[in-house]
Amino acid sequence: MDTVIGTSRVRPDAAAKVRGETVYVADLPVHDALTAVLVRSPHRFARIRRLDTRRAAQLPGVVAIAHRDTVPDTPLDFGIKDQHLFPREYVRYAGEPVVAIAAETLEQARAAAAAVEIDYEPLPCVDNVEQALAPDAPLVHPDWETYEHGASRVLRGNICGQNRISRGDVDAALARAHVTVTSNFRFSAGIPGYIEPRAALARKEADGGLTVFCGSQSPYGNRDDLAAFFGLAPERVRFINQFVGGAFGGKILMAAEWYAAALALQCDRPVRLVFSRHEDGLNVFPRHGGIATFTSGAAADGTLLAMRASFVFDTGAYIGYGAGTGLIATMLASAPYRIANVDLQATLVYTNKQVAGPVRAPGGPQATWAKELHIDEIARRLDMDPLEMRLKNAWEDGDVSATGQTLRSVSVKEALRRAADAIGWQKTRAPGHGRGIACSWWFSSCSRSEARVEIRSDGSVHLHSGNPEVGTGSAAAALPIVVADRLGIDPSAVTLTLADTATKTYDSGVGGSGSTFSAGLAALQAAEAVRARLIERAEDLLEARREDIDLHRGKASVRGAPDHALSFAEIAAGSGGSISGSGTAPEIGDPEFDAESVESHDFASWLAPSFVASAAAVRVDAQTGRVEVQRIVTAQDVGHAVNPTGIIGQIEGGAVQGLGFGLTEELRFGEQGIENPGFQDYLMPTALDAPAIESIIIERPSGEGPLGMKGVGEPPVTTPAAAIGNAIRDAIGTVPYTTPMTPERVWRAACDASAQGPSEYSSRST
Amino acid sequence: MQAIKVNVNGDVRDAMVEPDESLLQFVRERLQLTGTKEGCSTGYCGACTVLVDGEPVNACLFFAVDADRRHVTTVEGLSGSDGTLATLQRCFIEAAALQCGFCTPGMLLAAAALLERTPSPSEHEVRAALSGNICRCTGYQPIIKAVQSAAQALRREGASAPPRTPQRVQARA
Amino acid sequence: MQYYEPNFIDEALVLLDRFGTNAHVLAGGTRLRFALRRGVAADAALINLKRIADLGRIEDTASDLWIGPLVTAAALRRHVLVGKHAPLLATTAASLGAAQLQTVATIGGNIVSADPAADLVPALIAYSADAEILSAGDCARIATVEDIVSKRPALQGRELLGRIRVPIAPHRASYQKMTTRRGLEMALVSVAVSCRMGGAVVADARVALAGAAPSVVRARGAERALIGSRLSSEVAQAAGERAAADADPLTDARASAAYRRALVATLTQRAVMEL
Ligand SMILES: Cc1cc2nc3c(=O)[nH]c(=O)nc-3n(C[C@H](O)[C@H](O)[C@H](O)COP(=O)(O)OP(=O)(O)OC[C@H]3O[C@@H](n4cnc5c(N)ncnc54)[C@H](O)[C@@H]3O)c2cc1C
Ligand code: FES
Ligand code: FES
Repeated sequence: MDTVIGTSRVRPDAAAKVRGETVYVADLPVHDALTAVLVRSPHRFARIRRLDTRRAAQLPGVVAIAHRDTVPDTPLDFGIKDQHLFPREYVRYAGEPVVAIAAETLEQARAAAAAVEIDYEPLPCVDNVEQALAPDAPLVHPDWETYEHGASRVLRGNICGQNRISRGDVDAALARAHVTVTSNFRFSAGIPGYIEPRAALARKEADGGLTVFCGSQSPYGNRDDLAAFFGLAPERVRFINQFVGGAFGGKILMAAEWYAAALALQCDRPVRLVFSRHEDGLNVFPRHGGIATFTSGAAADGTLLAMRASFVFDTGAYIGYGAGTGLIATMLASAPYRIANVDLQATLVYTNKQVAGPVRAPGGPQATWAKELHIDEIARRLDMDPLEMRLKNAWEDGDVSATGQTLRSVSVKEALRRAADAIGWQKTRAPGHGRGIACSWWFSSCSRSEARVEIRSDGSVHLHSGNPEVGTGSAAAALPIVVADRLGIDPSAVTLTLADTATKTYDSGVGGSGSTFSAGLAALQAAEAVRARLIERAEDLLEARREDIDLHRGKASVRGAPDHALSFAEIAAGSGGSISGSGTAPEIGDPEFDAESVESHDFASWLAPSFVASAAAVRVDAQTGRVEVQRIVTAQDVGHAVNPTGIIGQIEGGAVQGLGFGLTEELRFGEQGIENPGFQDYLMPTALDAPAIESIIIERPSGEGPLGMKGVGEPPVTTPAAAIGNAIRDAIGTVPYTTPMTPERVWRAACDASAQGPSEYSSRST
Repeated sequence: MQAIKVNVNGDVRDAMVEPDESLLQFVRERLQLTGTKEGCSTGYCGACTVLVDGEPVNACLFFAVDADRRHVTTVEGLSGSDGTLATLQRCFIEAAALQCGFCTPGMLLAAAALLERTPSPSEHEVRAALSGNICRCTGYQPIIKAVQSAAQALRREGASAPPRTPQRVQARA
Repeated sequence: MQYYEPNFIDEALVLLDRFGTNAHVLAGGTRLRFALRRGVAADAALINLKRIADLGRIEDTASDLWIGPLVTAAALRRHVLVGKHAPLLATTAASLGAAQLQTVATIGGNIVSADPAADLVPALIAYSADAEILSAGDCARIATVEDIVSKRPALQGRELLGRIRVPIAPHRASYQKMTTRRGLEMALVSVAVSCRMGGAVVADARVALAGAAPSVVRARGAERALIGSRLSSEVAQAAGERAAADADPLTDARASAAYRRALVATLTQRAVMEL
């Protein structure tokens, strides 16, 4: 059988995309739809004294109004029940939707929005993590003690998450160390940066059910949440996902879907809610900002002896999907290094800001940037080459992680060496030029996913998968490859239905570098089942033994007698017209770990971990602080490269997102809330900012994933900013310990270094 | 309302528009040409890029009244009337220059305008010409490659035959 | 909203006079679009200048280059007369936004928006440019670009910006712009320098700073440091230091005053070195 796995090929959805024919939610033709607008809180924190929509309801064209009194009183459940769909007593961030209105036209909806009367009593706000933790801080949730929450969740005043990993005796080891280094870091919040603003179209069906057209990363999960909230049976709610114009973790939780649905349930007309960029910005689930402190000790030969690290993440007004960030950060803090004594903690705090979410590799760029700048600082103190320092301490097969997980198929040293070679690590640098390197690890996730493959009477092959296509190609490009490989056909011959809950192929959605992994496994199994059925039928029809039957080019043929063959259509005809098979990604248990080493941590061992290293070459203009990133090399272990084109796309896109996180992207908050909700002042890299990028794919198969695969999408965004930061320090002897490392911050660090003065976020070494 | 007559992708369209209506509203809402995307409506993403008399503009900023008696090319007008893909579109597919595809229509038109004027652009020229188009997915590298290979292919085609693909004629207006 | 497309300047002036502060002049519209989105009076009028051919021309006489206010950044980049007499306008036009914006953004709009970080204005000030200010019933008044942009708003309600005049003289000029990212961003600080040489000595100099004061301004101290000197790295450094002293920068979300001042010094020095 020819294999199509691992060959580069054209995406099946590409032609429609270059023609402009691909349909995203805002492109759906709607003739009778109402237009929805939201009334948002102008205050960061306030008590709602009075909410009166009667005048608005009287205005022409207004059809439905939704707010706290029109929807169920049940809180949303994200581990801590701290949020209602519409705020009840308090608004907790500027931009929080308070009322939704559907009217015949946009102008009428806006006029009604202006007529909604809300009296607010503004309250003192919590602006940042330091303030949240201050003893006399205002409470973002004055009633926190009444909230239900999961057993592993910590909730105490403004603290809404805390976990710890510890082993050995950190203090004793630090006392023994040849050097100890303390570094303090601050990282800014950022947006996912998808170009398509969120949108939804919801319609009540004649039977009382609901249909929601959405552009989500998790349509099944969203469907379940929405059905449960409105008290509908899940089967009566249908989510039909459209193509998604980028997601990056920002489209896992619902936004527009909630409000469109709340309004549609009140009327007999479809309701359309398309966010402007400004509104999307106000409703964003940003990447967590926060602070981190690292103190580590090393022996004179560079052996890392101990590390103490603590993070405080700003999770905003509600917990949402923010909790994972703290869990991941402690897992990254000392990895991928062998350190016998560690004490790693992360705390999540509430502030009066937008609800932080699981942006591509939650916690990854932040924790990796801080940790890898800290490691370089130790190397500099020891006068040791940063690459050598890493190679000396990096994990190998059989090492154990901080939580006691035994590591297999570890490739971090190979990744480091290959990234270093490609960047020209040993070459001398011209003045103002620098090179830096950084490495990390990441998890693969295998979550629930189902698929069905059908061979129809005309012999065509159709795949149903619950997995949405958000742009990465993990569904539209990779799944056909997996199916085609099993059936001996060309991937372009596989047609797809993706992420329509009516097809009843459940999928947990795109997230956690698990799409090709879980959905791929389900598709693989479904294809295997169909393959088995095809061969079984062919056995009778061809009168041959099944061992002798081959599937090749859409035919079943007998080995050695290529003319003795039947097309899929002929076999299907002999089986009642069609053949189908289903597959489900199996539950794969998490690897074992040492439960003694963790507190409040339910993500303490990682399935099929992957390893990644990035190296960067930069030129720094110390007088202006301008950093020109000339090259980024990322070497990533993907286990088994099913779709190399897709992997390279993830590495290259990740490099530039990582660069943006490191150098230019900063969501700013002020008295009125987010100051830069649009693209005008939120600076994502342009083609002129993006460097040349080299991708090195390492294939060290995991023992756990399907086909040996490891997760691909998130690791390559974690290391670039760290490599760039280390390269800046290599070039000019200093680097700001605040992201983004803007020209002004680099300039300031350079001034401080030449004046020998300490800067606010710098380091102290003893 | 103001009457305008616009040649859109080769078809002459007569329409009444609001004086402050944007060209983006005009093509998406009045003409139902939804290939042109709205990403920001402030001129800062390029997803709405279309050509007016062959030159790239942000349709979200451009006044529809300013398109009166001019030629507008949207992504729908790039391929031939028989549906054959333009060279640039083919090169985008082959170079894997798109993922989510939301930036793609605008990117294609910005690139088409560049190649019309600069048949052999340097890498820097390509990057500069596309600097008004944000792509969050690809990291730009495959897009730059696609534009460069399209430039090469178009030069070859141009050397062997006079320009014939409809979009090039239109772009020249 | 009412809409007009006057064919002649006088017609436009009459409309401006009639609608006063409710008149909105449309050139490229890249700034005006935002003003309109914030909402306008029901009886507002949009006056589109596009049909007035006189406002879109580029012409030269023996002593001056005349640029109509409707000339776009793209045209400035490409026009032979601009390349010949005022190449710095072509350079700065290339750094204004991105290609899509350059197609429509006009030089008149750049002046009248009077943005302290505008790209074309510093080049115009470095070239000692002035412009016609027209209004119904009055004769055209001429004002320097520096004066125009120092006012808030730059023009009175009934005024129209007419042609811009750039004196023609052999000169050397350069432009330095600093941004946080490389593409599609207004300047944090930019510096335009133009010098007329008398042999090896600077006979006259103009230094214009953007992002360094509430409006684009001349750095007169830096100009004095240049005039009468021979260009050298010491002179460049002195000019930079004087320019930093001339600057009166603000702290805002994009940059602090201290950083902007440092940029003024560095960019002025580099601009002089590049002459
Ligand atoms: C995405 C984006 C990026 C930008 N980047 C830059 C940049 O890098 N550098 C830069 O300098 N600018 C930038 N700008 C600002 C703006 O585009 C420029 O200032 C441009 O030159 C304005 O010209 P316009 O023709 O579009 O002006 P318009 O919007 O048409 O006009 C601006 C104002 O001037 C008035 N006006 C225009 N012409 C006349 C006239 N002849 N007489 C009287 N009043 C008049 C209008 O009524 C309006 O109030 C950017 C804008 C956007 C949206
Ligand atoms: S939508 Fe026009 S530039 Fe973003
Ligand atoms: S392909 Fe998604 S933004 Fe460019």
